[in-house]
Amino acid sequence: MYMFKYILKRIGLMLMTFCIIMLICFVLIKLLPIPINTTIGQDSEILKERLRARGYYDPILVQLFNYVKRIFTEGDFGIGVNMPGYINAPVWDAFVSRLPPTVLINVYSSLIGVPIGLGLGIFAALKKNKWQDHVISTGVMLLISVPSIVYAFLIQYIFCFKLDWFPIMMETGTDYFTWAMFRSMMPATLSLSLGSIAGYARGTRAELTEVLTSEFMLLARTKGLTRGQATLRHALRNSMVPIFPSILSEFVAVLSGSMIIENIFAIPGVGMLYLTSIRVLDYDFFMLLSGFYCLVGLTAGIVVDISYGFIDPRIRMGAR
Amino acid sequence: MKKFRHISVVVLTLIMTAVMAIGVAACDSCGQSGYDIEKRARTGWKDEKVYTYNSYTTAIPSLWNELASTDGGDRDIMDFLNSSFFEFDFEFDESGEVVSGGFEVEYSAATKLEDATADYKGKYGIPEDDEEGHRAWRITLRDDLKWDDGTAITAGDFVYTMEKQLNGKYLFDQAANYWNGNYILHNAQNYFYEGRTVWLDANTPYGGYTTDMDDKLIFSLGSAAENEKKYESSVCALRNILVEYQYIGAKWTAAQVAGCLINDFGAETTSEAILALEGKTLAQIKADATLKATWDAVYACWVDNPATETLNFFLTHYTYDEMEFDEVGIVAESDTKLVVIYDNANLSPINADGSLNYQAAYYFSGLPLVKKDLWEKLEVEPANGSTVYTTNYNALTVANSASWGPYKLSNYQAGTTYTLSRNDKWYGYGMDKYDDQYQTDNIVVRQIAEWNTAWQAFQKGEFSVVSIDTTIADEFRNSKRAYYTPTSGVATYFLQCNEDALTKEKGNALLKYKDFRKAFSLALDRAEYCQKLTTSSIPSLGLYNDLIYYDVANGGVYRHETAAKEVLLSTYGAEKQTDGKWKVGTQIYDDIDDAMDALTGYNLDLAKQLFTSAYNDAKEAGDIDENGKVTIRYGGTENNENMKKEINFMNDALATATVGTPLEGKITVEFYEFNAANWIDDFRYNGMYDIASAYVSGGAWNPYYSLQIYLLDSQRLTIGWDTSAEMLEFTVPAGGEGQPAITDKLSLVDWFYCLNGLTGCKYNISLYPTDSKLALTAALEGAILESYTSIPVNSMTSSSLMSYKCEYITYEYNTFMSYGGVRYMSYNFDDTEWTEWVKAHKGTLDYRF
Repeated sequence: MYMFKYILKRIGLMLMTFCIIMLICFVLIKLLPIPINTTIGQDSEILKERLRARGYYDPILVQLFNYVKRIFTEGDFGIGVNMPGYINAPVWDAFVSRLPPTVLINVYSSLIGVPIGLGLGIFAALKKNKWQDHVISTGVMLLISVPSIVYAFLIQYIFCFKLDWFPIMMETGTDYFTWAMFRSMMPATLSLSLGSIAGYARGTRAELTEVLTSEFMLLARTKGLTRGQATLRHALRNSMVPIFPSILSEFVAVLSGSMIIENIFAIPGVGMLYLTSIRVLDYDFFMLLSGFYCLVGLTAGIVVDISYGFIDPRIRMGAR
Repeated sequence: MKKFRHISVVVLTLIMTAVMAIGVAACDSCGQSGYDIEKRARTGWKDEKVYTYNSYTTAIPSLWNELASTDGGDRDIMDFLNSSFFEFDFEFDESGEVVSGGFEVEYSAATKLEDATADYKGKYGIPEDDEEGHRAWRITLRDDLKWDDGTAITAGDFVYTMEKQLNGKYLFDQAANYWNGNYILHNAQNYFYEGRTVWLDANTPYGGYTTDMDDKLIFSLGSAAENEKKYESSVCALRNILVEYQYIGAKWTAAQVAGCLINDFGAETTSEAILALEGKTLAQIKADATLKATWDAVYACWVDNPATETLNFFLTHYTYDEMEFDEVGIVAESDTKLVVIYDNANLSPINADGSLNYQAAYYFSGLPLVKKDLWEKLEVEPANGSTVYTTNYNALTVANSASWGPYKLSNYQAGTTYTLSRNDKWYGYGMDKYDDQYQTDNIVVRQIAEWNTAWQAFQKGEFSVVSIDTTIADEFRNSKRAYYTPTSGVATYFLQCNEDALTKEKGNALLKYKDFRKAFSLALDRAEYCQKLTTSSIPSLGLYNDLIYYDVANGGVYRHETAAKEVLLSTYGAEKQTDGKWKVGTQIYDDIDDAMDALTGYNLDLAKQLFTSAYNDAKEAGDIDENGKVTIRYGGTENNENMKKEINFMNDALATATVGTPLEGKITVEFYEFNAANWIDDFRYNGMYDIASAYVSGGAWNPYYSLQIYLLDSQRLTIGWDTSAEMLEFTVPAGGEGQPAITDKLSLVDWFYCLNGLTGCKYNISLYPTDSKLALTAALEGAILESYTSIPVNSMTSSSLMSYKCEYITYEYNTFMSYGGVRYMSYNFDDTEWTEWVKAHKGTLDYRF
């Protein structure tokens, strides 16, 4: 029950925080000067008139009221005004249409990266200071040291351009669950997952190594458990306490997309949208994306906190 | 253990080496000597094989609606969905080859163009007795114009579309083209604003002052920012005049303008008293003795002509009269007869012999057209809190798209790709003249943000064309598949010369000194710049390059004229000998063209002298101390690789040119990240950075008027240089039609007004012979260059590689037709053959030869 109350309380706080952040965002961007006649020769009269007709000169509270009312009564988050490729387009539709590729690539990346990363980490911990450990640790250092953009270019050049294993660009269309589409997403998936694999492997190795040398592991062995049983039932579960939340938080974080990876593989994802909305002063895009990322960040915080309790029963979130 | 560690390092090293080896081996495998490809003739649209042109862009347009179009990218789709009344065609010689630079203008969607002014006398603003300054043009349309679904198109559809274009409920930007553009459609502006109440400077709606409007006139000297909330950023006419003549900056506050009236115009009052007038109506001012006294003082210092100048101080909340659309100058006389009536007579699209000239195809090629039923279905009512109607017509989906051009949209995925396929209902596919054209069946465009991705896909045969990036320029610029597209733009550095922004503390005060700016220009090796930083651009020393025409029809290029050449030679230090020869450096040239070829604008010795003299002057004036560093901020949106290269180039050039001078090792150019939405004002008025870079092209066919970019405050970047005070003595030779010779000393702005015959000019040189205008243009160009506030660097040329799959009709650039585009494109392979051919070459093609 206390857990349930704790979750409700966190959700309540989250919503309050969300509203405050959004209010601040809205007010701050509306306080910015309205750009008029930004380019030489532009007809400022029509621009001014259109801004007036769209309510830009109304008091901020009136604008806020209209904005919120539009969202709740019509599901209308506004239309793109300056966003290249989405001028006149409903911002919600634009965002939703670009989310699937980003999510899929990151899901695939996690599906590949988590087991391989954990597996390598476990293997290296079990083979600590043996040659297998050294090979894995050196590889991990190499992968962590090199930015993912370098893998992306190498993967594209070697596996797509030279070896023809994958297409150079992601397939077009919205049928995301075909073999051709899956294959075309692989280069980006691999580029994203290499860094994750290294991170998980390093973390798992370090945690597991520490747990394996704990006294309770000795006790488990003296109780008669085999090394495998002791490792699987006790060591691994303990070592996962810091690792598992990091998997969740990383997955949530990557929902924001990788601007560079998406550019390289021509993936129509959300990576570029947020920065572009700020650069071109597209307020409706900015508000929607700010809301999305804010919500994702706040949700991730709650999910990660709650996950501790599930992984380690000794941790009681919200208990007095 | 150490052994294993070493082994693992060795293993990883081997892996990395293998990766590199694959790359190297890959390059080695390219060692071919060219492909034996037979160039096939154009077969036109009747060819039954399938030909696809694959291209890419950095942003797929979201709307391709002519009425609402926002940028050039939209045209990538629009141009194929629409047709032209009149169009350019290549001029062919007897053997069928394209004549270099030659063009013709032909009818396409129209069959006849005639001057119908006489038929409309007494109507649509054309006086009964004087048609001067008005023109009505009758366009006879083909009777087989159809939409892609087979619906017939009539002249009435163009009238319907124009109503949508000008209807104020949509507030389309493009509407302004019909009163701000080359021609003024009768009543277009009045219909656009009809019934609308807007804040305006009082001069705009009223024109002249009468006392009965006193309660409608609101005194305001506030800037756009100050007036943003109260008056929707409107400013009074006085401010614009004072800015134009450089008494004030555009962002000056009301208090500063009040100060200007007192200090510069002798208003006998105080700033506080003038500010007390802010927001008051003229009626209120006249009713209050104190305010009236202040107003009288302000009035006395400015107003000579009460009828026209009183309004300069006021804003008004003006309501345009209601009106019907049938008062706008566009009429459908029948299903095929369309008449447009203009309030000006700028256009002369018909030659004396009745044939069409370039103006028909360039300025008058078409009118916007929307499909009525689809438009009405896709109109979107205003969102909550807004009063603007929007539309999804020709936007977002294939179903929302309609075409009356040679292609129609057949696939669209926002942010990813679109496909244009042949529109079988297009009238042109029934015309003989198009028989050998439009061989392309499909045009597929992908959105690619990363050039390297496009480049690899191109080598795989997935794209038909790719731009040449600087990283491959050396290897591919001599490829037979490379072609170069010149533009009329000149890349120019604009140097900060607004003295308020140049201070000792900021380390940029040296830019105040002309010697320093000139030395900066002379320190730039433009040839090296082009080679290192661009793929194919060429150095430029003048404001205009070889693509700026003063006489389009006869191929008259400003830069090729003697006056234009001489001004560059003089500006960059060449000396004219008494025998007419030119000395450039130490070499004397008989021919002016040879002298021009030898001119580089790069002179380290002179640059050193000028850096030294600028330093000494600055030191004497206290603008720099002995150890003072000079920091120059170069503005850009992103400090990417190209920007870094450019800044490094400038730093290297300045370091080289200052060796042995007091400025040696002291000048640094650094990056300044500006906000793209406000970069112009941040340079012009706010002095946030010291060098702005821009490609300047102006009007490619009007070198006289394009000088406004450098001379008028409303247009130019370097407002710190006072072009209304900079005097030029010039002699305009007598004209052949009785125009007298003129010798006078006027400001550059005044000469510009004279050159273009603008209102208020002292002499109307626009009526003089071309040679006189060219000479004055050259003199003004020289004066601008010698201010060293605008430093031309290079003429932009883009370079691309064409796939082996297809061919342009010509690779010689034509001003009007470019290379002929998709319309004239021919194919060496159809799609099936191409796939096989690429596969036969191991899936990767070599374009080095």
